[in-house]
Amino acid sequence: MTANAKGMFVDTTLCTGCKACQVACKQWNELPMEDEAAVREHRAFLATSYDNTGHLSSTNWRHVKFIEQFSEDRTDARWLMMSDSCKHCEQAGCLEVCPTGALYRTQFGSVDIHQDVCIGCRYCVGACPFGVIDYNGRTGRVNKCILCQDRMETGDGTACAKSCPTSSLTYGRVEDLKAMAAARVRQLHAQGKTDAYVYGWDLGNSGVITQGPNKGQVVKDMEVVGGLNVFYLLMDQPSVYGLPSAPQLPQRNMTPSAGVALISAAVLGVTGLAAFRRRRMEPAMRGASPPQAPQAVS
Amino acid sequence: MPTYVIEPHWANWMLSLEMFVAGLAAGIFFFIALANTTGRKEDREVGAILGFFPAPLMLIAAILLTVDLGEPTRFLNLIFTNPAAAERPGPFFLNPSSPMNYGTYVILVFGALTVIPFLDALRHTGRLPFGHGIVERLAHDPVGMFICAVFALATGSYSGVLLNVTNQPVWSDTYIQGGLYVVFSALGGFAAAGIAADRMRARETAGAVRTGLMGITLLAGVLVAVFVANLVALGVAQPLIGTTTAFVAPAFWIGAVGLAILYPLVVTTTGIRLQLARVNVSSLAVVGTLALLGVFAFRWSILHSALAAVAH
Ligand code: SF4
Repeated sequence: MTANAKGMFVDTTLCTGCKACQVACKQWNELPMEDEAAVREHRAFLATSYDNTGHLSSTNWRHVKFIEQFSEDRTDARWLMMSDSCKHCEQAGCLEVCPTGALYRTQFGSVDIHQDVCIGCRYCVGACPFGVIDYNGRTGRVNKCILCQDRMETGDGTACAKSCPTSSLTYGRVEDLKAMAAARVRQLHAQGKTDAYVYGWDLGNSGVITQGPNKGQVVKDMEVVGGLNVFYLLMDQPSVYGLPSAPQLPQRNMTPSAGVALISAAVLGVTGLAAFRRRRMEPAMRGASPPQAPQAVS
Repeated sequence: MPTYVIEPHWANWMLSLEMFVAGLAAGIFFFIALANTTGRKEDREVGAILGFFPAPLMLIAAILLTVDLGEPTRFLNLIFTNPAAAERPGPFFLNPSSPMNYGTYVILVFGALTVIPFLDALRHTGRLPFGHGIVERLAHDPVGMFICAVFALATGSYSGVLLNVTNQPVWSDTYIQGGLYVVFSALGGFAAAGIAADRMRARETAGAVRTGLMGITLLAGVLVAVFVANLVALGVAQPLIGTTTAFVAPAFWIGAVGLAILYPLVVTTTGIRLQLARVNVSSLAVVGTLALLGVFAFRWSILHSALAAVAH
């Protein structure tokens, strides 16, 4: 981990879903509305719930998720909210597959993009285990949250955290944020909210879900892809928040896939040689050339 | 676990065509390398004519890629470290954990090597004004052709390894894509050689192609069976087995399995002669053409399977 890495702790229990962070992100980074196709296909503004964009995209680098849970008889309900963005993974799938060096690790441990180096190959889009990074049809390059690199350089921290009225988003040194998260989980557990745990780092907490469809299930802090510099305090299983329970690096497949390809190529070589040495003659081909004796290679 | 998937744009038809064309160039070059080094005179004649294809096919793949991505000058960032990416050592760029980087260099070398069979084809047809001796030596040198075949097969497997090294459904659920892609490339090459041998009435070569197709389709069949069984065991086979989204399942079963594997396998192993409206549909020309269609269907269905997984 980068010494003095900076990141964010997202305490979902404090989120009221006001979307101040989403607006601040749009404003600071001068992000336009989504492209015409997204508007046409009703992906730009859902208007089906309080969740207005539904997903992260090249122009929505932050997205406040609304998760509505009802009891079967619909007499009980709860909202889970979560301000989502790039996690600035310690082992970032996007960065590991980038073939041009456009994606890079900053001095703050975050993952940024050199826009003028990106060729728009979209390999990172398929590699991110969280579905974060997105292709921008307008520029032919990819975009995602860059943790307000410019603000970090001037010591201002991220625009989203600055605008959050409930401190659901906190910007700071990852080590400090981890201590803060551990304390917050302990506090919630002491209040009987044993659902609380940390997604991104293993700080040693475990608990039991007390509400919703997963009531009774055990939850534990989890370190994923080497740790997340933007990490979360959750109150239900990761899948409820649209997060993978076991995100993986795409590189896990590289050696075995290359190995299978190599073995297949070797078998092909032998098959090809055998085909020329032990050829099975075709049924009579009209006007075909007469059989020839093997000849030396010229 | 929630599934994230690439935008439909990523899996557009152009990408399928790009992969098909580059894979076919690789497969044809593989056949030429075999024919030129271990074949008989007739095989070398067929190989020489086939030599006209890999270079233009690679050119078409490059044009498709350029149209797909736009701004061809930016491709230089794949090879030379852009000064803006100062964190990386230069002057040549290599991210050791990115298959796309290795693939770029492999394809670059392979693309350059395709000039050899092209010049040899010109020599063979009397259209090469100079350099006969050196071209002939290059095109028939066993060591040189072995190296060419290695690059051809590496190019053939590249897209498969690339898909494997992602986090997309079906693409990254198994380790087999690299193997599947290289085998389907060789299948395409032998199918094209079958068409050429049939048209040139090269009986000896046709025999080698038939034997080759038998072995390659058998290998492809085994890999496809392992692939599907693997997906079934993981509970993620639905996009390939049952979805008609983007014609994925029909293209896979009718095209990749039926036309590219089963039909050539049955025709070559049984030697059966099938006549349909006075056309010999078991001729290598027909078998080869159908197999090429099947190889394209394979690329299409695998590429679109990730989208189908989400649609499902
Ligand atoms: S969340 Fe995705 S885009 Fe962000 S650093 Fe991790 S892999 Fe890259």
